[in-house]
Amino acid sequence: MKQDKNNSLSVLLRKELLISLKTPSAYVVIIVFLLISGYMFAEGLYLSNVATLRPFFSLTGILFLFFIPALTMRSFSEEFRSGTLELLVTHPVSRSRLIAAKLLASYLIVVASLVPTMFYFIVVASLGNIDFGASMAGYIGLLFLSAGYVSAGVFASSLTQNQVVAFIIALFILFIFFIADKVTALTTGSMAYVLQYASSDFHLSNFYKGAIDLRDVIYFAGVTFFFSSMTSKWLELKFK
Amino acid sequence: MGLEIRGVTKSFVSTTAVDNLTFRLDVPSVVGFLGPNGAGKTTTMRMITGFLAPTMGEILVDGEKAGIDNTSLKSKIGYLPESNPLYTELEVHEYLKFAAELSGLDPARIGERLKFVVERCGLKDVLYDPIYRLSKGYRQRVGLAQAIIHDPQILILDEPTSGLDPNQVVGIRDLISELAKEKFVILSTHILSEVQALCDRVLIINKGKLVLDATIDQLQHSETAVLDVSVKTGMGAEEVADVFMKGLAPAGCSGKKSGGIVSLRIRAKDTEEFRERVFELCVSRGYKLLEMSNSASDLENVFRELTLGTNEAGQE
Repeated sequence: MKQDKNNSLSVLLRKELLISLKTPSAYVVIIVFLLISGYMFAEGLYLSNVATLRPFFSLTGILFLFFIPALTMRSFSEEFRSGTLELLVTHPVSRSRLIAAKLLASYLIVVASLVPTMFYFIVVASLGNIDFGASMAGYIGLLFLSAGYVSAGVFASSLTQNQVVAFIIALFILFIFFIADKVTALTTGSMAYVLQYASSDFHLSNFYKGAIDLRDVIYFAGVTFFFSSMTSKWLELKFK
Repeated sequence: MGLEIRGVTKSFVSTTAVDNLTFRLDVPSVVGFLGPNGAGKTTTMRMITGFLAPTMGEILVDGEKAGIDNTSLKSKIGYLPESNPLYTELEVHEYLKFAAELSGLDPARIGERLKFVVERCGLKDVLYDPIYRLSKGYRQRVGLAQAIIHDPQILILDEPTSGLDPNQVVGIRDLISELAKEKFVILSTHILSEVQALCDRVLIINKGKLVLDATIDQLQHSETAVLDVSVKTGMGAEEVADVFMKGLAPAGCSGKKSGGIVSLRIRAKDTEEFRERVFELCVSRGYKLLEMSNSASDLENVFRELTLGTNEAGQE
């Protein structure tokens, strides 16, 4: 393809990150996330007196249900609302690159918010005998989970020009993924198995228990791919 | 070289915004694109720039079919949308650099082009200001700078001078005229005097259909041209108008008097010969001819005639 010569992906990504740096919303969301996770982590550590990061990973899986939609709600909604999508679409940029830039920008911010939590790891490691492998696997799990959540959030954002609506849709989607394995008690047999496999929380827990299983990797990669394709398809329909 | 619109139709769910539109631009020039609100101007521009896909027909840029998915072709087009959307968080220089890079402009040329647009659009003083702090006039100029920074062959400008003060308007018009020496410019506006000052050719669309495609020159010398004539005489305005109607048989003539001077609007084909006859008539009647000019408002008449009875229905 001709446009492969140009570097539109990095240009778009730089723009996304530049705008995120200049607006307070990303900082606010990251600070709130760190405050809550820090508090809960410290409290849990104090009460349980066990040198493990498991409660932190489990908690982050829940916090990300809110935190990631708050970060991604802006991505397409704001472009619709301000009309800037018209600028992007009328420049030599393919749809896939546009979506890739949006996904990467949000993903990088999520990853950046995880970096300070390494401090928790240092604290726990200094206090006791931490399971290094399980902790790393837990972080890898969070990275996979984030990719899936970000793609769902960006998809929700592509549906509406209203950021609040985008947030609620994303929260709703993610909540369904989160809750799937919590309702297995209500079902039996293969249905319970399906629900468990559909649950993001279940797959995350497999990671932080210390096992990097291909099935869990495939699950999050699949979710990411599914919502990215949905976004692409939706944007294609929108401009026909 | 050029732009060709071939039988383009755009239907939305409940309306047809653009209906079998055909025209072509073969020589670099400024084409005024007029029509009432809701006539389909913006929809047409959005199809040319690849924001919307035509329902039927095709748009050719340099003989190559344009469209939403022909991304590489989009670098040949510069576009200032009507709403002039901008990333207001960015500073002017950051935004222009982004626009240049996104257009696929050769990185080696970015500095030179940035300098050019900053100078020509008068953005020097605000180059390091965030866009949200700029006035409407400055924002408009940033939008225009964005449209031309990659030196596109085709420029689509949707109401480029809106929000500018009269001095800025002159500056921007000069810039557009200069650009049109080597570019194909389509400019939509509601300011008819702007069309007359700037454009070589006028397209008027109404309810999505092309109703006029003429050069400014043709318009000024058509049957519907308006000649403004001022004469000094003791007679009343109606009497004088009557004399002109009988003596020259124009398509129409009306007059009004103020302070001993009768101002006449004569609708007729504006030719040299006709002007001579006006002069001779004045001499024979003893009117002192003060002024005779082809009125700027003839386009207004043409516009009104061709588009009257339109309502706001339709997609703009």
